[in-house]
Amino acid sequence: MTDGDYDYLIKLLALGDSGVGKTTFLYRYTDNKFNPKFITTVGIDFREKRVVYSTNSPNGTTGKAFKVHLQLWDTAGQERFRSLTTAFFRDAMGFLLMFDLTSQQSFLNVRNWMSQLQANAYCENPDIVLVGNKADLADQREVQEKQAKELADKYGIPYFETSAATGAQVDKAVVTLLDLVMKRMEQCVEKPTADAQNTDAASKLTAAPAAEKKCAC
Amino acid sequence: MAKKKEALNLSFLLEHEREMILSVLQKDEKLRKREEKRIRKLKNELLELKRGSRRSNSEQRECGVCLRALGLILQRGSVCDDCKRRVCSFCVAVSPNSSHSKCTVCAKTAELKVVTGEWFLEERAKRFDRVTLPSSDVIKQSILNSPPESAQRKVYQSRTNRTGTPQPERSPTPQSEKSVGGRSLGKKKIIKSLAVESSGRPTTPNNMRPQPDRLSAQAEGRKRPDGAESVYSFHSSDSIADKVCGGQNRKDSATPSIAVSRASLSSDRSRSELDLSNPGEGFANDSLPSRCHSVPGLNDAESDEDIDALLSAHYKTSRSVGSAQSVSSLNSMMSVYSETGDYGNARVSGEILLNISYSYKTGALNVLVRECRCLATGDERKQRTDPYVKTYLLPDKSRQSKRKTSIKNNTTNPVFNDNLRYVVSHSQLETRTLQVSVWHHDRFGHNSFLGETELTFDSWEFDTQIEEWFALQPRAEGSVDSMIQYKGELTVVLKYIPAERNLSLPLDQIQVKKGFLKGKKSITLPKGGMVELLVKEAKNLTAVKSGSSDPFVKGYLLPDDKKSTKHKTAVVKRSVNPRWNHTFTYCGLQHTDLDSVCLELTVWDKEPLASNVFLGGVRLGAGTGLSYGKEVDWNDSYGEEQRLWQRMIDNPEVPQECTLMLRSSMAKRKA
Ligand SMILES: Nc1nc2c(ncn2[C@@H]2O[C@H](COP(=O)(O)OP(=O)(O)OP(=O)(O)O)[C@@H](O)[C@H]2O)c(=O)[nH]1
Ligand SMILES: [Mg+2]
Ligand SMILES: [Zn+2]
Ligand SMILES: [Zn+2]
Repeated sequence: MTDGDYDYLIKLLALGDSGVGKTTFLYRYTDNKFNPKFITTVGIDFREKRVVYSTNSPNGTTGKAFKVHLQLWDTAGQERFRSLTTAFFRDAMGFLLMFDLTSQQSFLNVRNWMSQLQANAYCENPDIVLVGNKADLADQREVQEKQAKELADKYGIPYFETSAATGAQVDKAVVTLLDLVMKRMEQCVEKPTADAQNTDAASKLTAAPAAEKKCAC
Repeated sequence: MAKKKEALNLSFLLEHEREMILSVLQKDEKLRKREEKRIRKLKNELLELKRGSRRSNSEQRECGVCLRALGLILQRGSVCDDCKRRVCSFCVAVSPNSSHSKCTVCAKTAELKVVTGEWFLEERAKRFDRVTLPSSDVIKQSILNSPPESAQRKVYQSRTNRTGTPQPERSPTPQSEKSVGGRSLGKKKIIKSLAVESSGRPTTPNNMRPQPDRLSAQAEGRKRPDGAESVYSFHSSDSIADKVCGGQNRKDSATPSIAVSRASLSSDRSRSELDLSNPGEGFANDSLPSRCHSVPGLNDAESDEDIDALLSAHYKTSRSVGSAQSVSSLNSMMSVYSETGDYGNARVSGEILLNISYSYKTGALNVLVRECRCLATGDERKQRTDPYVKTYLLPDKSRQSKRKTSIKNNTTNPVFNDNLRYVVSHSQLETRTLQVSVWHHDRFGHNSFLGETELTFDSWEFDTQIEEWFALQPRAEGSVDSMIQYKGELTVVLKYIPAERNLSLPLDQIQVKKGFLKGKKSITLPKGGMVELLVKEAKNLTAVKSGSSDPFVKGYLLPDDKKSTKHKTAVVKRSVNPRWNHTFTYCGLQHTDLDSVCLELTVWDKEPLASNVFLGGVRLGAGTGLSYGKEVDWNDSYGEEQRLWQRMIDNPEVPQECTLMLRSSMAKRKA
């Protein structure tokens, strides 16, 4: 993990209310373990993981494989750290916006987090995956899948119901986000510079932010 | 101080929270360093590719990349879509899912944009014009800037905190957005929150200000235990910036845009070796009292034998005599060298072949420097290159850690076959980095940097031998930054007891007294006042060996003419947060002396068998640059160091506690 032998460094960041399970989720993702104890995060932390990412060429065959070093920022959900945590938003390339399926309040706050992101991330429409966590606690569920899905659709972002306790959908959520980021990266470079400016201007004028998923470069 | 207001106020953080966050940021810094290194390597490859290539030209008869001749009819090559150069079939990049054709250089450039993450920075730059500092650095600065809550409040807070926090906080969260409360994500709302940001959020403006160099940031960060706002003196920061950075903006570590880094590469290259000379060098030898730290300037001269060789005559006399005269002559010569900084502007190219092995039997690391090839020209004017290779086993940058090969005459492909040997245990070696740099030796001291490479041993099988070509790289930021690195903090309590208070006291007690606050009456001199210094503790010291160090503090009161002012604390074993609580007492100091003396404290890691390793230091004094009317370079205290001294003078008998940032180098600032 300490060597520089990788092709991409991708920085993702998890955000959401305190207690929704950001730390636990990331721990599950990187170490495949579950920690039932709640130790609230102080300010900021990060975990790392090295993964292999393979592209699919247009004809469907698997293309080149890249080594990706993931830096997964874990932010404190507590209000008192807010100024500190939002300062980190602009360094991340993609976001895991998390709420707790057993807490309606944490779901309601997704909107607020969303606007924090839009104000502070590197661009107005960064790649985000919405994550409803603690899916294993079915009997305590307060947020229905339909509700969450609707919200995600409105934002034009993918939605996953995960459980850091069982590991369900955890990898899927992260990989989906990574995929989005990698795609955007490709678009940024593929596009010849000349006509890029035109599309940029055009999309800014017309498209709704949620739909405007293409890279503006 | 508009500057102050713009930084994030993080004073609400509790002491242990500050520490936790700082350690995360440190971890991040490490990750970014590694990333930078990787990017630099990639960019070097691109430079290599570009080096040979040509501009486009309508009459072009050869490949724009490799210069191979192109035919008029056959083998005409094809035109690159990006740079419009005609290139041969070997130099066309094959891109599977792209319809247009590119030359290898343009393909590599595009690839770099992706793999270096530059695409991201470009995107972000559209939004935040001038965000150049990584958030980590902003936060670090802010934390160091924000004085922690006063002790009393802290106790109270942490108590309430203990009962308060562990419950998941479910209050309607992102507070600042409550009022906005938009339900849709229309443009309006975004604009609104952006407005909030530009007026209310402190981070962005913080980054828009002219890049402070790291030293000034540190100095700014000196926190004051009394909780008062620490006001940084701009004056001194500017002068440091000029001295240390040659007035150049420091390279931003997380903005690896090609343009930026090229520019800074050239500025790096323009430094003379002296400018890059390793801080703290010449200080590591604790065992040689003759190199007394009270003869400043000599240390600097000694610090680099590349200058030594040149100055040998002066050097010898000054070492033995140590007169003010020789000091000043050294200083004036040294400043000549710094001015010639732009002389050694060789570009970096080529590779070095090293054979590295470790012998368990002898406990020695053998670095066999075989040869270099394709070195850059050392002296462009004379078209001459007299290369030699120098190594350090970092983090030890002392003389003891330096090895040099012989100097080869006038060649850019020198063959050395010189073995450089380090006796070091293999467990310690794992924590070390071998820095190998190549220099052009100039008889007149304009040694210029020709490139370097750094090797770490953490993943090396010690029983295998490495024989490998390593690409030479521009000076790593680390080497320049090391002057302005975060080396941890030192907490001291200073007190001045004026003479008049002691008139009635015994005449003959001069010596050090332990136990700070009690019994001061018995330990003073009648002829003058005294300065009592309690060396309390240090935090976040550099770990020299497997996660820790064995630190102690050494103190001199400069000028140390009689070499009698040296004090040492005990060694605290295996700790980077040592607590010494050891008092040094200096007697016979009149009020008028206080502007002319300086208390130099240096922190060292005790090495039983090798030389001690320098961990950082401070100079406490008035910072007047003068000592009894004479110009001296050691009276260079600044910022919090200086303020602490002043507080001590202004408040006789009142202990003044202060936490100071350790300097990473005791190189004299006003040399
Ligand atoms: N049953 C269950 N418990 C979970 C799950 N994810 C997290 N938890 C628990 O929820 C509590 C809070 O998790 P954390 O990961 O610490 O929460 P956080 O979002 O990081 O909170 P802050 O650091 O304060 O922002 C812990 O006790 C976890 O064990 C899950 O998927 N299922
Ligand atoms: Mg957490
Ligand atoms: Zn060619
Ligand atoms: Zn081209």
